[in-house]
Amino acid sequence: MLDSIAIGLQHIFTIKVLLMIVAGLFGGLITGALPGLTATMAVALLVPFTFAMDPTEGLIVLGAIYMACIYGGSFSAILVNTPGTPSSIGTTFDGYPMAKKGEGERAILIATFASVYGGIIGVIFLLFLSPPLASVALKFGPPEYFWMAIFGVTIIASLASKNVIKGFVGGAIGFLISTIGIAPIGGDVRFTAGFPELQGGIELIVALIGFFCIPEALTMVGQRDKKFHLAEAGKVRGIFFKTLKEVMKKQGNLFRSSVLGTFIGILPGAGGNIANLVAYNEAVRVSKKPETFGTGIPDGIIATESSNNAVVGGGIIPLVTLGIPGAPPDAVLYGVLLLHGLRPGPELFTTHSKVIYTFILSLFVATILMLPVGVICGRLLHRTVVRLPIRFLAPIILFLTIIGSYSIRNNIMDVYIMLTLGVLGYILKRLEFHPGPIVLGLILGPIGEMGFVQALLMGQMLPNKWMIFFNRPLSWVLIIMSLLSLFWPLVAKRLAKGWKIKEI
Amino acid sequence: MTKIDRISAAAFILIALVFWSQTGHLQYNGYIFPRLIIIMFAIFSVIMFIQPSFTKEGKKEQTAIKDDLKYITVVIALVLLWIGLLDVLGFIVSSVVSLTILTTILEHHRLALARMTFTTAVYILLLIVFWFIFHKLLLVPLPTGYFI
Repeated sequence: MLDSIAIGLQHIFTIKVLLMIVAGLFGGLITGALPGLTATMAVALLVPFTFAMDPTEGLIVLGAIYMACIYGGSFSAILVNTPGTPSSIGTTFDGYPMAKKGEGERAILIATFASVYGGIIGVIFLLFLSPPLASVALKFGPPEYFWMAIFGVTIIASLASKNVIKGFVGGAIGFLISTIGIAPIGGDVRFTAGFPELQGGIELIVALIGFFCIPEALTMVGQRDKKFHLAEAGKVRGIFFKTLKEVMKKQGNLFRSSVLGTFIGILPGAGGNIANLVAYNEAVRVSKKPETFGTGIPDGIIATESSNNAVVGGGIIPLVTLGIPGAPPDAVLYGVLLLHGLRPGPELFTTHSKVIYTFILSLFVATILMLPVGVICGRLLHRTVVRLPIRFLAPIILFLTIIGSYSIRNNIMDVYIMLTLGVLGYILKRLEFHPGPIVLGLILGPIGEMGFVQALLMGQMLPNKWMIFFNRPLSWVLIIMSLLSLFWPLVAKRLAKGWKIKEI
Repeated sequence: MTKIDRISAAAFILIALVFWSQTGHLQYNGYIFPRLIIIMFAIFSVIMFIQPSFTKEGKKEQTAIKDDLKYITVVIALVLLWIGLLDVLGFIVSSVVSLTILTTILEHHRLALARMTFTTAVYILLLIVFWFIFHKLLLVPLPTGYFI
């Protein structure tokens, strides 16, 4: 292993490879910052460019793009309240309020430091703990996936703290939208209202753009008298080091969120979209001032950004050890490995150890290089958005929403769906529904349904088929976690009361 | 927000009923999960309906909605037209036209030909660069019509 690491380092630290990583990072950042263009799309689009390269270099470039794309999603989340990728949904909750207060640059720096930290933790896990972690992921069956979705639902209590009932109604709307189209098991066509275009279901990214971008653009239109979208703060001297110090003080949040991101990344089907929300929920739960979340505090950004970048390393663990992609972009990487004649599995660490260790180490280097590249790009983008009048910004956002939703499946119907959901999102926003729970429902819907129905089918062999949800130890871990997460606000209140009485 | 909340809760209950009625013809594996969600949706909507909340802020919010609606409705209609024109006029032409109109609508100053020409020129340049990178370099399919 050490030999391979040494050879890998030797391979990476050449001008050519370092330039390739930087180019990949720039490409990834731009793609990630554009709503609708996901990490999967960026990696898939650039695969043909790697054909001419040798396998290691191809993987290095794609790894850098993947890492930067996940981080780049935070730019639009912070600056225009629109997650560039689903992995940055949670970043909008505190990042955007910070930007509105004139702290956009600080928010971007926080996102950068947290992303770099998360990315490094994920890669460390990938490098040293791949085989044992991958075996845990294999123990997840349909009942566990169902309980994981239920655990995800409990996050709503944190996301919609102002009105939990509205949060749950929003979550149910998201779940209901996710059931539109062909049923995953049985193949029934559901809730399409006779439109064959809806049989493929509603694409998550299309809904994400609709629920986040359109309400924001429409709000800008409604407030056109404001002239500028964000407040511009004066220059703060030493903001880079001050923010770095501030972020590094939050070791608990950083480490917890990164580990959570890595573990969620390992689970096939669950990626950064779930990890960032789970990490946000945990940060709220652990915080002594949970009521400050959502008002523009660094902890919210730290949790989401460190977790989503840790997913990159986590998602590659089952890919390289078992040949199971942890997240959609990993599936593209799987294809790239096969294209270059590398079969994922234990063989990768023996026969092709030099290639795989070079790739893992390149992810590490790309994460480190993301710091300067991200700071330069982030500051530039921040200045542009702050100085761009609403009369230009709102139309440009609308343009990006149209192109982003069209390019998912090259289908004009998706653009109409995006606009419809956007108008619905705007109405719901005015009715004080948070878009977070709706999108969470959309994300968890397919995972929950697949787990639920498959588990019921598995349960046919038991005297009572519903017992399948309760007769596995891992299911109980998730049930207890869900109950804890759901009732934590009450428990925390009781505990706080108890402590106050003791103090008196 | 009580009144609006109650109206929206009632609408949600109605939507739940419509969705429930659509599950009648489905097989067990197809309807079990959606029905579970519909029941939860209806329960939460009922709770929302009976949840008491009397705030003064709600009334202020209602006036704000009315103020916004004029421009918002025009912009939604324009975006709908833009989407419809994408397959007719093509990506660049329909986008330049729509973006220029949108910018003009959101303009604070009086309409001036010089400003409009400048805006159009900026959008043409921006869209050509965008089209070249995505369509020609990255081979991302963009909507096509009679023009580009």
